[in-house]
Amino acid sequence: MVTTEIQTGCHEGSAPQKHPLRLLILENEPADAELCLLELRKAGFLLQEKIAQTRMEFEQAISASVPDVVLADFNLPGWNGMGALEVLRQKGLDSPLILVSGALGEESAVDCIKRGATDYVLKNNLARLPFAVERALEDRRLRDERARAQAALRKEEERFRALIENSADGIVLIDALGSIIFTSHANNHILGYTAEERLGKNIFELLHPEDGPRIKKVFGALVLRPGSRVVTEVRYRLKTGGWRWLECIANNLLTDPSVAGVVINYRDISERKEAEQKIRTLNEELEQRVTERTAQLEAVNRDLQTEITDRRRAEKILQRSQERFQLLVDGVRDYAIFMLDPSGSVGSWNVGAERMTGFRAEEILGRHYSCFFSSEEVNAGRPRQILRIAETEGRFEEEAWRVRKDGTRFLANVVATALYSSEGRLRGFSHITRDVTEWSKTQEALETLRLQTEMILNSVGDGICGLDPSGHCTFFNPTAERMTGWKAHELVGKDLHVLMPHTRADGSPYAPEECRIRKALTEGVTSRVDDEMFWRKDGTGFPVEYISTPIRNQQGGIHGAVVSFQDITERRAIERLKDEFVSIVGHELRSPLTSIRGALGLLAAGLLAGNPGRMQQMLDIALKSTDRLVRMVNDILDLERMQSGQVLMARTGCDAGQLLSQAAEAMRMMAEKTSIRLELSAPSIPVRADSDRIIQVVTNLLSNAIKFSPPGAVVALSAIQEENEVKFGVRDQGRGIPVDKLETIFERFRQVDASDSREKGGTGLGLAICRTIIQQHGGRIWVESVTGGGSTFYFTLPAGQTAKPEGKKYSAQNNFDH
Amino acid sequence: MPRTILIIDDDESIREIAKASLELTTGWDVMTASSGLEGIAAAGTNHPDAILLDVMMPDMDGPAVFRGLRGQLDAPAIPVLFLTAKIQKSDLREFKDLGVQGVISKPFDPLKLAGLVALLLAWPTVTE
Repeated sequence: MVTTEIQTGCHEGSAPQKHPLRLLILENEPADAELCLLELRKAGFLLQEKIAQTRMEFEQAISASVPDVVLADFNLPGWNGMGALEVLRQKGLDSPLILVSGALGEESAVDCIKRGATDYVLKNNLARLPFAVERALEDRRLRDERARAQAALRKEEERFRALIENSADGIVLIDALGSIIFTSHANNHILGYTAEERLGKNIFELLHPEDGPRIKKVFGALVLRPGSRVVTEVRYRLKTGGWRWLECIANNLLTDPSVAGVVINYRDISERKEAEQKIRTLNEELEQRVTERTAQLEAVNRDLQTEITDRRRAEKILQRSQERFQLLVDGVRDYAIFMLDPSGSVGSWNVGAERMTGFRAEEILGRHYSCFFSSEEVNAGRPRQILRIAETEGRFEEEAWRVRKDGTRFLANVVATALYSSEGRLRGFSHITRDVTEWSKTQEALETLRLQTEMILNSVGDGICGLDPSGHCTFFNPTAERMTGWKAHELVGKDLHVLMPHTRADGSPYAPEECRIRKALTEGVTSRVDDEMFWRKDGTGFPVEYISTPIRNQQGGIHGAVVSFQDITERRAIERLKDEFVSIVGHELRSPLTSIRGALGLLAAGLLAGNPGRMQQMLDIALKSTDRLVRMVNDILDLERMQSGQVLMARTGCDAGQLLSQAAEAMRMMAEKTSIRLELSAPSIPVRADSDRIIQVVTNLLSNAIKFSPPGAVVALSAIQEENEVKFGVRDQGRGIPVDKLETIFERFRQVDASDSREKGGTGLGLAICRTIIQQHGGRIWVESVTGGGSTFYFTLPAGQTAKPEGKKYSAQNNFDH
Repeated sequence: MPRTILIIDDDESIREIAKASLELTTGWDVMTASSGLEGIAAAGTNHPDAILLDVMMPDMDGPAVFRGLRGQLDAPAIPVLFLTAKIQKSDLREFKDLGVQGVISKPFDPLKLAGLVALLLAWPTVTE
């Protein structure tokens, strides 16, 4: 291949060439190729030519660079120009191809041009070649321009379509009657229809019935005014059923020839509508709620106003109350009332506190309350311990000693109470103290008094019974229990009359309303009664003396009674004995007095003047009776003095034998008178005794023995030691003593035969005196007798060994009773 | 017939004084007995016009003797006066209930004894 670049001048009449023309010549005859080049250069073309002689060279050439024009010989060996055209077009090149041929028929030429050749030039008319090339280039230029414009248009249209198709809005084009000419979205994602389903259909047929008339009216107006525009909202049926709210913007472009229709842009505003609806509903609700809330607020406001008024009133009342309370607390003088903060510092102080402790408010406020404790207690942590207890248990109370400012102590009743805020936080303590020193003393005194009273009531010998106003027992002392067999707990709360005085001494019923105990309750009178019976629990009765005394309260009302009573069984017996004794004494004293009085009376009257014998008799009687009276008075006084303890036994160490012989000596004369022999068995035994009194006893016993023994009889005296005592005996041979009188003969005026004493000159008191003397010595006296076989009187005295402890022993035997 | 009086008393001195008193101031015949039993026997034998009876005597006391006398004698009952130192109220009530005609207390005035007896027995005069 030969490439020759030939610079040539511009072709005349044509525009000057700026770039050389890239020319590819397919020609197997180099001369022909040169001729073509020549012609072209002549015409002024600036050429950059390539010449290919074969198909291979042609293909190489077009691959290396795209030619601006191809000149191809129509007839080539084994190939032709039309084949080159095909190759060229196969390669996608649109370079113009001009056939250059030696001989080409008209028909072939037309066929070639139809098949894409740009032109043809006969080799014998090469002068036409520049023109053909020029025209080919021109065609080519025009074709390129058109292709460029078409491409630009196509691009523009694609962009526009993409815009439309991809827009969220729908676009529809309708004619003046509403028929759909175009609709965007191959598949309408707003309404669900395909374009095919809608094209040609009337746009109004799927309108919501309620919107139809309005839209048709709007559309009618729009159509009449070309270039006008309307915006509206409308409901449109979905393919799947249901409705969508659409916002439509319709432009009347009927008179615009490129459109010739009404363009409607629409978009789905259902959600917005829904949202609007919701917002509207919400707004309505909100409004409703606002209205309601406003009403509520107004009500609340009114309530609040009322409450504020009430609270102000309450606050005022509270304030007044607090002021009064403060005044009260401040004014309390008998209680120390003060506040402590949580740590125990004094936060308030009242008059009572100042009075009790001696601290003035300004001295104590802010100080720790431990100053009321002794240093020992403070050291032991007592003040803090108390607050801790009050805090954990809410309250603390004790009775304990506290210290005043001056160091003196007082017994305090203390109550500390923890105070909490409404949130439950400890705010401090209220501390109330009472000085109970005096009170405590009073209590102690009262307790002592109570114990004393109880002791007295429990120890008195009288039965004591308390009654309530209805006669029911409230108290029953131990003595009363012992006397009646009733226990206090059995009687308390019960009607005393029903249980104790219920029956009279003669067995007749004793009506409660007559009961003299009750007079204390019903009439307020004190009754002393000694002729009634009380009945024991076991049914037995005893004569009683009682005093029923009303208990009056300070107003004088009767609120009970106290009955104190005694069992007078023994007293009655003693009274009987006393009466009897008085009677006997009276008789025994009156008898000699009667004789004396009578004898003296007769003598004094002078009635016996002429009868000296009788006169003497009267004088003897008077004398004898006077002696007897004197003896009796002496004996009675002696006995009384001994029994009342006025005569003390002057005990000394004596000898039993000696005492007996002295007594025997004294009675020897009397014994001899009646020929009675006294036998004395008297060893020397020491005794401690009042020798005169013991001789008196033995003499008395001897006297009785001599008196009651027949003449010539023997009366024996003896004394023997038996263990710690000495037993004395006086044995007679008299008539003996009946068994039933063995003991009574030692009582006063209880001689076996009263006439005996007068006959024998006795007083009836001898043995009673003997017994008293022996008892005073701590000994015993008794008689053993066999009726008709004589009697032996015995008595004992404590043995008189020197170092015998006396008192105790004697006193132990003083209670001896035979 | 002088009136006859029986005195029953265990005290010899009193028996003698009473006897002397009555005899010296009246014309009455006076008998004595020293015990109840003796007295009852004497009364049965001698039917005195009145009996002065002591109360406090051993064995049989005055009331016992009185009942003995009443039981033994048919009719009419010899009036009995107690001559006694036992003169308390309760004693007097007891004697009255017993049915005795009267009680004369000891000691007595020997010059007035007869007068008291006559008065109690409603005799016109002591000298009768």
